[in-house]
Amino acid sequence: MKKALFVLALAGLAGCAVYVPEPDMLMAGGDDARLGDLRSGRELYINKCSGCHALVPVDRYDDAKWVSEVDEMFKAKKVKMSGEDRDRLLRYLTTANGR
Amino acid sequence: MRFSMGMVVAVAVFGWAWDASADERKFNYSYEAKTLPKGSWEFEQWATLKMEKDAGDYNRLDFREEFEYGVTDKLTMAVYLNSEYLAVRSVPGETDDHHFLFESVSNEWKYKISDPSTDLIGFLIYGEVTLAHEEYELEAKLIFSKHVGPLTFAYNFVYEAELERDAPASPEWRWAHIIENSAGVSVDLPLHGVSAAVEARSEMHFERSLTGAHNSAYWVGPNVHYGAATWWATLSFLRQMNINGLDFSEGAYTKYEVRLVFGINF
Repeated sequence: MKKALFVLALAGLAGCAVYVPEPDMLMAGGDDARLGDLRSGRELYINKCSGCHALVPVDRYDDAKWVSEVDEMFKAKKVKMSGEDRDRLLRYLTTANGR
Repeated sequence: MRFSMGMVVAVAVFGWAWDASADERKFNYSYEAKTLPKGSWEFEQWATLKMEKDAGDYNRLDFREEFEYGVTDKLTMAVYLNSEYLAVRSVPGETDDHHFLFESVSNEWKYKISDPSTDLIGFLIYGEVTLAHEEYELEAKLIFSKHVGPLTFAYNFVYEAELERDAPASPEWRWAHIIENSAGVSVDLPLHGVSAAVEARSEMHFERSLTGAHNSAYWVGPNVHYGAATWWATLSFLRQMNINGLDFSEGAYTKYEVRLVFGINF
């Protein structure tokens, strides 16, 4: 019984992970290079953003809102990344949001 | 009926305040499994007031200036400057004293293993070295934390080894060991940038060896945190709990503690 409750608690905890989906071939439209690019974008979102605040589920915002949110971070100088990484991050966010 | 009410409460709790707010520390006594992004800097000012023992007047104010830098996205390094103001009068077992002094310098390294938002649990390993006049400290922490909607959970296991001179000018040095557990639960309030938490910590102080006699004390209390665009602040209040009687045997064991930490990112 205790083991079952522990497994249930772990499952519950796993289910509480913020929605930041791992890119797959479907998301990348069957394109290997695009898949690699989206995976890098996801890593950027996790590593650059979670140091300062809890991550927002990627399906929370539409494309325009994600662009303005990321630009806000750049304007406030709260994130340091190259323009190339910014674009890679946005490609992931605007693809994974499913909108 | 009870099940329905529980569902309403769960929806109310998890339905609000998911908005990310710019912040670093929701807890003053527990770390979260977070590191600064590569190339980012943060300055933190700590002030901890420890007050009241079983008799007499005891007030100690510890200051810490912390400079933190993101070496990589998963590795953060910090340097601390630690100083102390102490005012003691008529406290049993303590010498009357009144001083302010620069105490020590610390160097901290944090490495993030897993993320508290996207992984099952956030896990980070922490190491710190402190150098003081005639005292050396080595501290290691295992840090766990998790974000679940507006809630943040944190638990730290801490081991500290201290090597200090037995007495001023004595050729003898002695070891002391400290084991600490700290935990906290924070909830984001429906006020932008504000969260409230409950924090708890326990400390066991061993003289000379981990198998020897030890003192232990337990504290619990609330905190409030505010995160703005480029700065944040957390204020905590702890009270020592009467588990097996209150313990004032160690210099740092007092009835009350108030800690304010202010941070600014740049």
